[in-house]
Amino acid sequence: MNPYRYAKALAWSGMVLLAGTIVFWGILGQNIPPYSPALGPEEFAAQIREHAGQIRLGMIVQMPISVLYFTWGVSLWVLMRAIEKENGANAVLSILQLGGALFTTIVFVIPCSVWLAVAYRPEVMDPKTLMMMYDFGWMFFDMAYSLTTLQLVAFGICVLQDRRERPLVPGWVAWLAMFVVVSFALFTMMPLVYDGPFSRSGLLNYFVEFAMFFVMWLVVGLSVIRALGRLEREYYEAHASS
Amino acid sequence: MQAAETHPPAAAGTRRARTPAIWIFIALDCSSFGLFFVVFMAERMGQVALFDHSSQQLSAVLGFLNACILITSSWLVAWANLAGRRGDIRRAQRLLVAAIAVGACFGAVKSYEYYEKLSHGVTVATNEFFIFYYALTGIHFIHYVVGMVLLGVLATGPQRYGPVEESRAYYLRWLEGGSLYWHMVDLLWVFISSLLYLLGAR
Repeated sequence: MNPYRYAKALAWSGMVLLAGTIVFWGILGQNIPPYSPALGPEEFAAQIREHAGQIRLGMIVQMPISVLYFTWGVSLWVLMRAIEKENGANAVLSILQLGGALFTTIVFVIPCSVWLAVAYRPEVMDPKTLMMMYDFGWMFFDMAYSLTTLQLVAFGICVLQDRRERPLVPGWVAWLAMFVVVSFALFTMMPLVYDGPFSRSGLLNYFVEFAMFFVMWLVVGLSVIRALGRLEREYYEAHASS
Repeated sequence: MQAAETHPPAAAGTRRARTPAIWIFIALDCSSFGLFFVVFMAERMGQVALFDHSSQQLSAVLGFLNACILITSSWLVAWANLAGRRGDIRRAQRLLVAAIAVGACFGAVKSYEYYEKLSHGVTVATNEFFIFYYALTGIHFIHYVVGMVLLGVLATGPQRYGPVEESRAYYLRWLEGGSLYWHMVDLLWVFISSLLYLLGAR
């Protein structure tokens, strides 16, 4: 069987998730930007109560589609295995990447379930409880960044070890991915502040970090789709006569 | 059956020199630090007295000392790169070890500074200036640690297994990339120390 069968479809699943995340997590989930940690409990609860219906809808869809992050990770794994096999039997980086993708999927699912609970019956909940739950969701979402960092640093290092004359994925894509996920270290400041550029809704820790992540995700995703197409073509060319 | 399991041949030849690709990382990193600096200046404009007063609590001498340490370490890495290009890998390795030894002093000075500030109760909760102080120097410190690890790996020399020429060419590309990264760490510190330690100094 063609070893790259299904892989391109899985790579596209990541792009579907990207679009879905913007719509369901971002727009419907009221996360562009999220509620500021500077809001008081009553003000925060009023916002949640006003938008509970759409937040619920956003999270109801976002939770199940988050599995597509893992399927996307499998497509990266297929590509990385092709590079690793040319360089020997070592499979450490592709395994690390796959593990990182699996855990990042959890980072999508659990906070979304928490925000879903926040929007479930906010009218009968104590505002401080709502606030604590919402904060918990964001602490998990932002502070578990090392799982995604692991995934994409492993991907970047593997891609840079591709010794083909024309690499499957350009080196700059690898460096872009590694830059973005290493810059997540800035999230370290997030639990220490309540407003300003480093807060969860601030200029640096929200607008810059998330914009960079989505752009990187798109660039890596399209590069992987292209590379898998090339691998498949090469496979068929090599086996055309047999 | 045999044919079905055979993979197509890898593209012939070795991959083109990859050093330029690291420039995308360096350009993005410098741009993001540039953005931090702009945000810092914007916040500073609203609270000049507070930022100046806070800046005076930092030791400009230690900031300058660390700049000198990184510049010296960077200079040694540049020499290592030149030695590598001349084919003198042993000398390159020795220079890298010297660069690591000098670079380690930066970590010692910075750790002392953090200890001194924290033991006096100066934290991110102190004021806006110290949020930036810990964020900028903390992110820079992560870059520094990554750089030290990279220099440590490079100091072990080309891998001893596989074709010698291929390993050496591969090593020299990474040596050049690692050198560029270390120069960036040095350059960023010059800007950070100027903004944090000198801008509000008396």
